[in-house]
Amino acid sequence: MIEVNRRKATILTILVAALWIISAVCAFLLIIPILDSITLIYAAFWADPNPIGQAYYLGVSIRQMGVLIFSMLFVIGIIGGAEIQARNFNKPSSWHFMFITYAVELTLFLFTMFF
Amino acid sequence: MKFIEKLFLHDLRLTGKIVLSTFLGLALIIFLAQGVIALIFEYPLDYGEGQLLNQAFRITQGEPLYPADITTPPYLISNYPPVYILINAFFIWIFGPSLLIGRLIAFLSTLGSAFLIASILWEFMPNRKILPLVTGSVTFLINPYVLEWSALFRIDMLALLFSLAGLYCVIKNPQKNKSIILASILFVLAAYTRQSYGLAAPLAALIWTWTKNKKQALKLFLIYAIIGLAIFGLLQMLTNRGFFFHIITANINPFNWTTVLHFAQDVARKMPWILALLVFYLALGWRYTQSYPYLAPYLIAGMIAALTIGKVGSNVNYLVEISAGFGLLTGIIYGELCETIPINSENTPEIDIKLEQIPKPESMKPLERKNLWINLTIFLVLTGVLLFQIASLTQDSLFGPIPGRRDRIKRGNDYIYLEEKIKNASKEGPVLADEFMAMLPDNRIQLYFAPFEMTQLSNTGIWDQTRFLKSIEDQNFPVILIHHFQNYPVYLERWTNKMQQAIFDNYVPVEMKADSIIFEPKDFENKTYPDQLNCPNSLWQLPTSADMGLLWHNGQLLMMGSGRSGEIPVYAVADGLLYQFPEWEAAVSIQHEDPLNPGEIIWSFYGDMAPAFDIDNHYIKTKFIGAEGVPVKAGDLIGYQGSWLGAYEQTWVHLRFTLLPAGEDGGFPEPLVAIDDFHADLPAYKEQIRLGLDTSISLSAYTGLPESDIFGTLDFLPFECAVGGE
Repeated sequence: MIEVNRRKATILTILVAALWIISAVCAFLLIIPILDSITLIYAAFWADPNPIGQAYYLGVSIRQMGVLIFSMLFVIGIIGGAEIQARNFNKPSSWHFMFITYAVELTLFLFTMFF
Repeated sequence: MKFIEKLFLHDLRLTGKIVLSTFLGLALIIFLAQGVIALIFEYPLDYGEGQLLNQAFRITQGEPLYPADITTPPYLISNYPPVYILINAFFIWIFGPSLLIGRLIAFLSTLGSAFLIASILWEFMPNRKILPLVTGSVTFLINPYVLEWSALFRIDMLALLFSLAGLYCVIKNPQKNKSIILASILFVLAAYTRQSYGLAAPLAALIWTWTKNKKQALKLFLIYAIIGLAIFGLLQMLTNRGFFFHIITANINPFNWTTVLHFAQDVARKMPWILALLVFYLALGWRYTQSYPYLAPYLIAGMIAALTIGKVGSNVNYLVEISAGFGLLTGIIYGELCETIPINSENTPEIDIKLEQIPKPESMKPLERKNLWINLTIFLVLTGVLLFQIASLTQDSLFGPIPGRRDRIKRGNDYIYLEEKIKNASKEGPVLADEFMAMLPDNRIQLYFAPFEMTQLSNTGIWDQTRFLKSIEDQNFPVILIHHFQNYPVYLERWTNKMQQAIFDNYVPVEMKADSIIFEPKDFENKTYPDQLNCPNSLWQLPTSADMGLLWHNGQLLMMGSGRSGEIPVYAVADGLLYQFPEWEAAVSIQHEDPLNPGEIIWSFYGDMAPAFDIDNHYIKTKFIGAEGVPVKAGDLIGYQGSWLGAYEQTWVHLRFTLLPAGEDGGFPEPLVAIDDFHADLPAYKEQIRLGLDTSISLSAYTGLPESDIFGTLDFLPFECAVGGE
C-alpha cells in the first residue's frame, strides 16, 4: 500500500513539475507576441508613418516598458507559481491554481492570435 | 464523481468565462478610447455634423428650422425632427457652438443604450447571471457601425436611447399604466429624434404588451399615435407645412439596391455567427424563450428599417438599430444556453478549493452527470462562438473606423489653416463647404448652402438651382471647399454637374488641406487659365483636365480631373511615336521632336492609367498596348485617368504626367524606365546630370502647366497657366 502511494506521489510530482515547466515556457514565448499585439492596437489608434514622429517614439516606448513589465510579471509568476505548487502540493487549491494559470495563458494566446 | 471530474466541470467553465470576459473588457476599453479621442477632437469628423450644428445654432439665433420656402438663400434642409437639435440648441445657447456638446450627447446615449440592453436582458435572466448581460451590451458597443457613430454629432444614438428606454419600460411593467404612458412618450421622443426609430421598438413593445394584456397594448398604441400625430400637426402648422417637406419630401432620395446588397454582404462578413444565431432564434426561439414576442418583431422591423440604407447618401447609421437588436439577441441566447438543461443544485457536487486534501469520490446519478457535461459542452461551444464573433468585431473596429478616424485627426495643422481661411473669407461673403462645413457654425457663421441635400433636391426636380448657379458664376463666394476623398469621389454626389461646371469655370483650385480642395475665384484680369486643354501661346496642348488641381511630385504632375476612375480622357500632347515598354503596366510614353531645340528628341510620359488595385483592367487604349513607336497626333486619345498608384495604394483620380529628356540615340532614358512605378527610386537631379541627361526640361515651357521648386514631398499647384514659362 505504501509502495502504491509513493508511486502515485512520484507520478503526481512529475505531473505538477511538467505542467509548471510547460506553463513557464508558454508564458515566456507569449511575451513578444503580446507586445506585438499591444503595438498593433496602439498603431490602430495613433500610428504615424513618419519614423521620427512622436507617435513612433511613443510606440517604441510602450514596447520597451512592456518588455520590462512583462519580464517582471514573468519572473513573479514563475517563482510564485512554483512556491504555491510546492506548498499546496496535490491540494484542491493547487490544482485550481494550475487551471487558472492555463486559462490565463490561453486567453493571452488567443489575444495574440486575434490581434 | 471524482475530484478531477469536478475540477474539470468547474474550471473549464471558469476558463470560458475568463477568456470571454477578457475579450469583452478589451472591446470595452477600445470602445471607450476611441470615444474619448473623438470627443476631444475639435474639428469635423463627418459631413452631417455641420448640418446639425448649424441647425442648433440657427435655433439660438431665432431662425426657422423648417422654412417652407427654399428658393431663396440660405439653401438648407433639416432632414431630421427637432428633439436632438433642440437639446443641442439649449446647450449652445448656454456654452456657445461646439461640436463637443452634440458628440457628448451621442456618446453618453450610446453608453446609455448599452446599459438599457443589459437592463432588458436582466429581465430575462432566470439565474441572474452577469456575463450574458455584459456580452450583449459589449457586442452592441464594439459593433463597428455603432462604434463609428457613437461619438459623432449625429442624432441616431439619442433616438436609439429613447426607443430602448421605451421598450424597457414596457417589458418591465406592461401591466402598469404609468409604464405605458412613459413608454409612449419615450417612443414619441425617439420618433421625433429620428423618423425611422418610430417603427421597430414601438412595434416590438406593442406585440409584447399584446401578449400580456390586450387592453394595455391598445392604450400604448393610442397614446403613441395621438401624441405623435398631435405633435406632427402642430409642427406642420407652426412651420407652414415646412416640417413635412423637410423631413419627408426632402428625404426621399433615389434608392439603390446595389448599396443594400453591399451593406448586407458587409454585415454577413462581419457578423456571420450573429446571423447564424438570428436564424436559429427566429426559427426556434418562440418555443424556448420568453423574449420572443418583443425580440423577434424588434429584429425583423429593425432589419426592414435598415433596408433604407439603399438611399443615396446613406451611411452605417442605418445599421445602428439592428445592431442593438443583435446585442439583445446575443445576450438572450447566451443567457438561455449558459445552463441549457436545468440542474438541481442540491444534487450538484460543489468543488471546494479550500480543502486541505483531495476529497473522496461522491456518488451521483448518471443522468445528472451526463447533463452536467452536456451543459458544459454547450456553454464552451457557445462561448467559443461568441468569443470569435466579439474578437472579429473588435478587429473590424480596430482596423476599420478607428484608423480611418486616426488618419483624419492626424491632419492637425491643416484644420487650423482651413478654419482661419474660412473665418477670413467669411468676412467677404458666404463660404461654401461640404465635408468641413461644421467649421462655419462652430465659428458662429451660419451655413449658406447644404451641398448634398440641395443636389438631391435639384436632381429630383424639387429645387431649381438656376439662381444658385448664377451666384457661383458671379463669384459671390470668396472660398468654396470641396472635399476630395482618396478612395471615392463623393463630391460627385454632393454637387450637381452644373454646380461643378460652374465652379470649374469660375473658380480655381489653389490649395488642398486635409483632402479638401480650396477653390478661389479666378482672376481673369491678371492670370490665364487653360481653355479646351490649351494654355495661350503654349507649344503643346495639355494631356488632360485637372479641374481638381495638380499635385507636383519630384518633377511629375498628378493632374486630378473631375470624374470617376476611367472617365476622364487623356490625350497626346503633340505629334510623335508612342511606346509602351514591356516593364510598364499603366503607362505609355511618346517620343517627340523637341520644338524648342530642333534636332533634339523629348519624351512625354503618361502614367497611372488604371483603376486602383486592378492593373489588368487598365485604361490604355488597346491599340497602344505594347506599342513600339506607333505614330500619334496631338489630341489623339491615349486612355483615361485612373486611381492607380501601385499595387497596394489607391489615390485620387489622376494622370501622372511629365516631360523627360531623351537618352542616347533619342531613346527613352534607361535610368528613368522605372518611372512607371510611382514609388520608384529615380536618379536625383545631380545624378541625372552625371548620367548625361539634360534635366532642364520645363513643363511650363512646353505646355504652360505650372511647376514647383519643391522636391521630396507633394506640393499642390493651381490649375492655371504659367506665364511665359515661369
